[in-house]
Amino acid sequence: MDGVDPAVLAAPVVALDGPDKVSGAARYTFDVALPGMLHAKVLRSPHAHARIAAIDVGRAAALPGVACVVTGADAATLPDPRYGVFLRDQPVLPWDKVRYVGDMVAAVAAVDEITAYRALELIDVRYEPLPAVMTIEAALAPGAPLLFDEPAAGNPVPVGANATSVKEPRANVLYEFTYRNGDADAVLAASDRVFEDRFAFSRINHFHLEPHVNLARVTGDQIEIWSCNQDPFVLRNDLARVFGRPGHCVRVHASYVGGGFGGKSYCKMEPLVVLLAMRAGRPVRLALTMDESLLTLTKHAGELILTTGVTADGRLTARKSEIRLDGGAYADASVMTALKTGYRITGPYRWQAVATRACAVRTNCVPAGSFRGFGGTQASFASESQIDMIARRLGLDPYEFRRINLLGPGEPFQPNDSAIDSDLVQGLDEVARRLGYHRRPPAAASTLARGMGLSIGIKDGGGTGNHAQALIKVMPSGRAIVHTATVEIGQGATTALSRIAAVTLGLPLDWVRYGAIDTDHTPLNNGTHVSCATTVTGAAIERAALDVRRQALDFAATQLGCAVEALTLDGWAVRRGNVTHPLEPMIAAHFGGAGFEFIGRGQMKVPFDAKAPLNAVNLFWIPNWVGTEVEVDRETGRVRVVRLVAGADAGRSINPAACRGQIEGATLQAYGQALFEELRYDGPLPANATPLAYRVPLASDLPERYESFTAEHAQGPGPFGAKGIGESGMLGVASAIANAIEDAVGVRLTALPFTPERVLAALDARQTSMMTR
Amino acid sequence: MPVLAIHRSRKLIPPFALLRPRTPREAAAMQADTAGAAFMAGGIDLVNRLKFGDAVARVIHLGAVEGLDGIDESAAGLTIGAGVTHDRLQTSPVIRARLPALAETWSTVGNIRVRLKGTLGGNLMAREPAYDFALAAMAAGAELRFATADGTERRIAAASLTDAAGRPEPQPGLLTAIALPPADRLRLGFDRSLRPALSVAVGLDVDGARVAGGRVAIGCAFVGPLARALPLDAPLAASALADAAGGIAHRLAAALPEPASDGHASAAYRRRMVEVLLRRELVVLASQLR
Amino acid sequence: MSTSVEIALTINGTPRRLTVAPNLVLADLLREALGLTGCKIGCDQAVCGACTVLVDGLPTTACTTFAFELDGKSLVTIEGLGDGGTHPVQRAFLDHTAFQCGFCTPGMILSVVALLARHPDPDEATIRQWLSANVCRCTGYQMIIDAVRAAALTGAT
Repeated sequence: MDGVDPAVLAAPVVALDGPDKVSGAARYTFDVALPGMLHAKVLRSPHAHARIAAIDVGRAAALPGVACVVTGADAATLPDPRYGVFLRDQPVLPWDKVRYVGDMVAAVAAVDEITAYRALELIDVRYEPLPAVMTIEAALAPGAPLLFDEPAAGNPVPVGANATSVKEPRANVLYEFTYRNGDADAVLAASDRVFEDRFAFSRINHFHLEPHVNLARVTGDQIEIWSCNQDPFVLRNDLARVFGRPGHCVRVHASYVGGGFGGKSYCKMEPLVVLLAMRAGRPVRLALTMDESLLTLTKHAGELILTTGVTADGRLTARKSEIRLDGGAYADASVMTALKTGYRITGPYRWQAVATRACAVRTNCVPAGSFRGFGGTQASFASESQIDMIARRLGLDPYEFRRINLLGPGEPFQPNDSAIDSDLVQGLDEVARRLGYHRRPPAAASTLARGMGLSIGIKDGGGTGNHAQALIKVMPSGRAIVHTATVEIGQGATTALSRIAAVTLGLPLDWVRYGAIDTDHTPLNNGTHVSCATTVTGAAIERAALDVRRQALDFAATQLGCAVEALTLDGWAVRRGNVTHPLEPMIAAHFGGAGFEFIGRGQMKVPFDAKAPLNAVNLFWIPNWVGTEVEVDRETGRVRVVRLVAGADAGRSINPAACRGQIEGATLQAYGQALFEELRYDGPLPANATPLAYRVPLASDLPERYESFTAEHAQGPGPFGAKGIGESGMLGVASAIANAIEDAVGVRLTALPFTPERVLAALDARQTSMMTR
Repeated sequence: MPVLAIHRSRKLIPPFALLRPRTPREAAAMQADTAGAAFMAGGIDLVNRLKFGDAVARVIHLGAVEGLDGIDESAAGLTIGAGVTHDRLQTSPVIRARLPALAETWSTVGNIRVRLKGTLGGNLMAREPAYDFALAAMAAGAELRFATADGTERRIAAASLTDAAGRPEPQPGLLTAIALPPADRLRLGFDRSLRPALSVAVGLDVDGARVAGGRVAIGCAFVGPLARALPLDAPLAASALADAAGGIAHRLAAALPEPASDGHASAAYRRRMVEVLLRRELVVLASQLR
Repeated sequence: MSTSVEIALTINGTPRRLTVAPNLVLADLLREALGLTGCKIGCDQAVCGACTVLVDGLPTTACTTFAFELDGKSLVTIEGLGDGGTHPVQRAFLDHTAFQCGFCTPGMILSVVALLARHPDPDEATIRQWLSANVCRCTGYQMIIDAVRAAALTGAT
C-alpha cells in the first residue's frame, strides 16, 4: 500500500503483548494444564554411541502411579517413526542404537513428576557401547564407525541452476550442497594473489528460558497438542505423517513462546508426547529441564576453508570454499543449514567466479539445527574475517577494501538471484562514523592495546519459495482479529503484524487483536523463522486487509446505491463527497441479528524458479553492519570490548522499538559466542551442560558502550518497503571483534571463542615468529 | 559441581526431616548424631545438591541459631559470624572502613540474590574452587571457629579447609565465626578479572610501611581453594615490595602443584597467570602502602 | 523430627497460614497450589532468575527457596505488584519495550523493584551489576536498563 505516512509507523506503540507480559498474565505452553494430565519424563543415554541390546520396563510400568512406559519398540510400530527436515533420520525413540549422550531412550507418563523420575530409575537398559566419533575429523576418517546402517528417509531439498543437493554422499555425511558460478579454479590461477584460510566455528545453545514443553491429548482419532513449537503447520504435517492420521485429525495450539531462536523449530519431541498420550489414554505434559534442552539442539559448529583470489590493487576475483558443519547425531535442519552456509559464504561482494562445497557431517554430538542466523553466522564469521586478513596482507585499509568490492543496490547477489536491497556502503559508513573508525589512533605498544574492527555480515531473508496465508475478521464496530500462524516468540510479531493490519485498514492499533493460533482455525504458515514474518506473513495480512477494504466499499456502495468509485473508506466509515456514512449502523440495518463480519483473505507466495540457484529467488537480504573497539591485555590475552556498534536495515520499521530490541538481542547472543559462550565436549561427554556451567551473557558482560541503529533504506519487498531483521545481529559481531583484535595487537584468531588463553597463544606465536626473523 | 546432569530437578528433592536448632552446640550435636544430615543457612549449595539427587534425610536449618551474624571489632581483630551474608559483609560500615578492598570486591561476588541469601560460612564450607570467600579468609590468615557437639570450640587456620592440593579436609562441627587479624595490620587485594579461569587473593601482614609476610590464595585453578605463604625471605619495605613483586610471584607460581586443565583454561595458562596477577596485585598493594 | 511445617506469611499483602512439607519448593507452592503462574521456571538452578520473587522486599529465586523459609515473612509476586493497577516499573517496561518473549519479565520487574528500593537513583554500573542476577536471552539488556532509568526518574520505589 503506497503512501503511508511515515509518521504513522514512526509513532511509538506499546507492544500489544506488553500488558500480559509485565503483569504475569501471559500464558505460555509452560503454563497450560488440562484436568487429569499426566507428567512425563525421558530416560536419556549416558553413552555417545551404543547399541540398545535390551530394555526392560517391567518394574517401571508396575510402579504405582505410572500410566505407561514407551520405548523404541513402541515407536517402531508407528506408520512413519522418523522426523527431520527434508532428510528424516531421527526416531521418535530409537529402537536400535543411541547416538549421543542425552539421546532419548525411553519415556514414562505418571501422576506426577517425582513418580515419573522414580520410574526412570527402574528402567533397565543394557547398552553395548560402540566407538564414538566426536569430531568432524573423526567422523570422516577412513574406517570410522557409522552412525546409521540405513539411509535416511526423505529427499534432499531441490535446488536450482548451478547448484547440487545430494543426500548421504559419503560415510557419515548426511548431505552435501555445491554451488558454482564460472570457473573458480581458472580465475584463481590467473589472480595476482590467492589466500587460503581456515576458520573454526563453535557450538552454542539457544538457552531460551522457557524449556521445550508440550502437552498432548489423544481422543479417539483426534490428536491435539499444545506445543512450544515455532512451526505449528509443519508440526501438524509431521504428526499426521508419523501417526498415519489424516491432517484434519491433528490440531496444534500455539501460545506465547518463551524464546525460540530456532530451538523450537521443526519436529522435536512432540511425537513422543503424542505417543505417551495415546498409550496412557490421558493428556500428557512433557516439560524438559533446561539441562535437557541443552542436550536437545545446538547451533552448527564447523570448519570453513576459504581460498580467495584478489588482484594486486584489491579487487576480489574468485572464492573456493570447503565447508564442513558438525550436524551432530540427527539431521534436524542440517540439510538447509549446510545449503545456506554454502550459499552465503561469498558475502556481500562482487565475484568473477565462485565454487562452494558445504556438507553436514554426522557425529555423536547433540544434534545441530535451526539457530538464528542459520549458516549466515558461520559464513559471515569466516568471510568477514578473511576480508580483513586479505586487506591487511595487501596493505589496504579494511574499510576501503570492502567499499570497492561491495555489491551495490540493484546488483544481484549471484546470477539469477535477487539484487541487494540495502545500501551497504551507507551502513558501513554509519558504523565507521559512530565508532570513529577513520580517526582511530595507531595501535600502542603498551600492555593494554586498543584496536577497531568492522564487519558486514549478510544472509538472505524471507525463506525459499515461502508463502503465508492470512484472514482478518472485522466486526460491525470495526474491531478486528488478525489470524495468521506466525508465532510470537518475542520478535514482536503480535504488534508488527497487527500494525500492518491496522495501518492498511486505516484503523487504530488498539482496534486490532492478534488471534490465538490453532491450526483448526488459523490459516496456514510455513513457520516462524528466516526473519520472514514481516515480509511474507505481513504481505498476506496486507492483502487480507485490502480485501476487507474492498468488501466494505462494495457493501457500502450497495447500501447507498452508488458506484464503488464514488466512495472512499475513511476509518470505519465511507465518504461520499462531503458526507460521511459510518459503517456500523449500515451493517446493523442490513443484517440485524448478531451483526456481520467482513472476512478478508490474503496470501503471498514467492514462486519457485529453477533458474535461481536455490530454486527460488531470495526475497530480501539481511545485512548486519558492526563496528567494535576492543582493548587487549597483552599479558593475559583478555579482550575487553570497549565499544560495540551494530546496525541493520529494516527497510521500513513497522515498530522501531522492536527493531532495536531484535538487533541488540541478537548482537549480544553472538557477542557471547565470540568471547566465551560454548557448549564444550570433554571426550564423549558434554562438559558444561547445566545452566550453572553454561555461561550466557549477563548485564554485567555488556560492552562498556553499546549502541545500535536501524537503517531504513526502504527497498524491502514487505508492506511499506519493510524487510525482516530478526537474525541480523547474529551475523557480524564475531568477525568484527576478531578484526579489532588484529588491529590492536596484530594477531588473528580464526577459532571461536576468543578466550584469553587463545589470544595469548597467538601473541606468543607472533612474538616467536618475529624473533626468529 | 556436576556439569552434566541428565536428571536434575527440584522435583527430585527428597522428603527430609527439618531440624531447627537454637544454639551452635545443638546444631553440632544434630550433625554428629545422624548420618545423611546437612546444615542449611542460605541453602544455595544444599538445594543445588539436592536437585542432583543427593540423599539428604535431615536438614539442620540454622536460621534460628543465635550468635552467627555479628561483625565485631576488638583489639584482637575482626570477628565475622558465619551466618553473615555476602551482602551484609559488603555493606557493613566496619568492613568498609577497615578492609575496604574486601568490601569493594564483595560488591561483585556472585549476584545480588546470591549475596543476599548466601552466607560466608556456607561459601567456606562448600569448598568449591570457584567460591571466593575461602580465598579472602585464607589470604587474610583468618582463623575459623567451630562449635562441637560436646560444647568445646575448635579453631583452625582457614588454609586448613583444604589440603596442599586443594582437596577438602573434613571439618566436623558448626562453623560459627571467621576471625581476622587486626585490620590495621592487614592489607587485602583481589584480582578476579580472569574468572572462571583463575581468581587470586593476596593478604599482606603489614607493620606501618613494612611487609612482614603474607599469603596468597588461588581459586578456580585447583580442586578447591588453595593457600600458600608469600615467599618472602625477610620483611621488606613497601617500596622494595614493588621491585621484588616479579620475583616473588615467579617463585610462588613455579612452586604450585599442577593446576587443573579444563574447558576454561589449561594448567600452563593458569600457572602463568598466577604469576602475572600476583605480580600486579603486589605492585598495587605496594603503592597503597606508601 | 517434623514431617510438615506450619508457616504464617503474607502473600501479596494477604496474610496466609499454610501447612507445607519441608521439601516443598516455593516455586511449586506458587504455581501448583496457589495458581500464581506469573513466576516462571527457567533453569531451576538459580542462574536465570526468571522465578525471582520478593521476600521482605529482597529478590530471591523461588526455585531454590523452600516454602518453610517464608515463615514470618512477606512475599510479593508479579501478580501482587501495582495493587491492581500498573506499578511504575511495569509502566516503564511497557513504555520502553523492555521485554520480548517475556519469560524473564516478571522476575526482571521484581528485581528492578528491589533495585530501586535500595538504589533510588542507580548509575549504569549499579544497574548492570544488579541485573546480572536476571538472564534475558532476547533483549540484550539495554532497553531494560532504559526502563530502569525511566522508572528511577519517576521516583518509582
